[in-house]
Amino acid sequence: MTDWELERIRMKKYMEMLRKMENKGKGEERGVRKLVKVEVNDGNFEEEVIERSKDIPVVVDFWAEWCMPCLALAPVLEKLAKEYNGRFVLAKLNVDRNPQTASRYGIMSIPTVIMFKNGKPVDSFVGVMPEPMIREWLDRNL
Amino acid sequence: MYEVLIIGSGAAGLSAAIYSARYNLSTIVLGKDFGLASEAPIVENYPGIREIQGLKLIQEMQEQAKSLGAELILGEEVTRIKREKKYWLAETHSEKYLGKAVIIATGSRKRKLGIKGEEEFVGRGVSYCAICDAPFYRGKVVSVVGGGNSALTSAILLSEFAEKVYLIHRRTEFRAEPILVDRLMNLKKEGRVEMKLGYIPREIVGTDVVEYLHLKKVDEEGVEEKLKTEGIFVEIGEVPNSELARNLGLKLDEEGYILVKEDMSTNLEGVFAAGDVTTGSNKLKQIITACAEGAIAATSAYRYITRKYQ
Repeated sequence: MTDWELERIRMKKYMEMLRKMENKGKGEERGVRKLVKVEVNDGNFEEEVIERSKDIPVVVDFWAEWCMPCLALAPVLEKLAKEYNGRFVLAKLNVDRNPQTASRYGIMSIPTVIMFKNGKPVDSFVGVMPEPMIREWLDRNL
Repeated sequence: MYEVLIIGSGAAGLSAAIYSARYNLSTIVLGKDFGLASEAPIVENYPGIREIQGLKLIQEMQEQAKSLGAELILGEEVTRIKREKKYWLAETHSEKYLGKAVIIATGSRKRKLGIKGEEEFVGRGVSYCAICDAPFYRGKVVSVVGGGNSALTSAILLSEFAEKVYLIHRRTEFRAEPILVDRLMNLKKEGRVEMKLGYIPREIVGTDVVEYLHLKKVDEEGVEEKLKTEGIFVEIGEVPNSELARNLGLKLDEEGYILVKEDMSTNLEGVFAAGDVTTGSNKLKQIITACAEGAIAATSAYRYITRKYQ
């Protein structure tokens, strides 16, 4: 399976999830759709993560296509990013294509998730965690 | 309402889904990850496919199950299964799914060493997934702990990246297939792998990241060794993910595996189990046996539903 196909499947899942959540939210008051997810790379990490985190917490998901646990964690993070609706921004960083940033933060296992606030990493976790534990981690750090 | 709820999306769960969908049963697979097979760097003993990455094989199974009409919900952890009148209810953190029959295929997880420093250095040198993390150890010295197929496959994979691989195993012989042992011996001859047989890990030491692995000799009191290593890959077997099954009231054996009969039925009517979590297939935990058990479980679920609801 090519990267493109994989991405397509992921996007399809993501879109399905968005639709599902939109249906759930019907009848409730919903605010303006906020930015919840960005793709980042070695080139724009400074601006998209470090600078942005001075205004709003940024949660960076260090992942790679060859890593199945990463693919299992991704939809959970994306769902939570959507649900928290702008209280943090989820940034996806592919460590395969962006080795500089991965090495700068000493990534040795993926998935690794790091929260940035005020330009600095404040907390992280490694591996797939169950959703309630990720919620707890977010609530503790936000 | 579904006819078949499948809990677990590894090789067993997906095979059950393929069979169940082909019996025209409405089928849903609820999975929190993709199972241990997906982390196998390379699979060379699944007949008909000479070699394939574990993750590719699992993705193919996912596509096959979906194309046959099974619904796949991934990244959703089932927190409880319970009886709901004559049906079965699976609850996740956000949803509830009702089914006429349930197939539990929750697999197993990697066993931990349980030594000092292990928890502390997860993500900073300690890893349970060689295929995920091997590229981070280019040109470094790494250690693999274990003597089964997973340990040897990991050591062989890591030897392509690392400068040197230590293989630490408590026995002097290997549980792994002889073909893997032969490959390992060749790597040993080339000086890319060094064996530490008859040793067990005692402590992991470092400041920011792993620096040393302390070993002790199994049968000689007081003989210890400090290995300088930057990565430690733990491959010492698996423990069954049978907590859901236990809470549901399924009978487990003394090691925690779900007791199944030949038809993959359990002590509860309408509840079946398949794959690494069961006592089936003589506990040979292979993709091929997981798939076979999935097929049998789906067939038994089909017979059960047909008998009970028609």
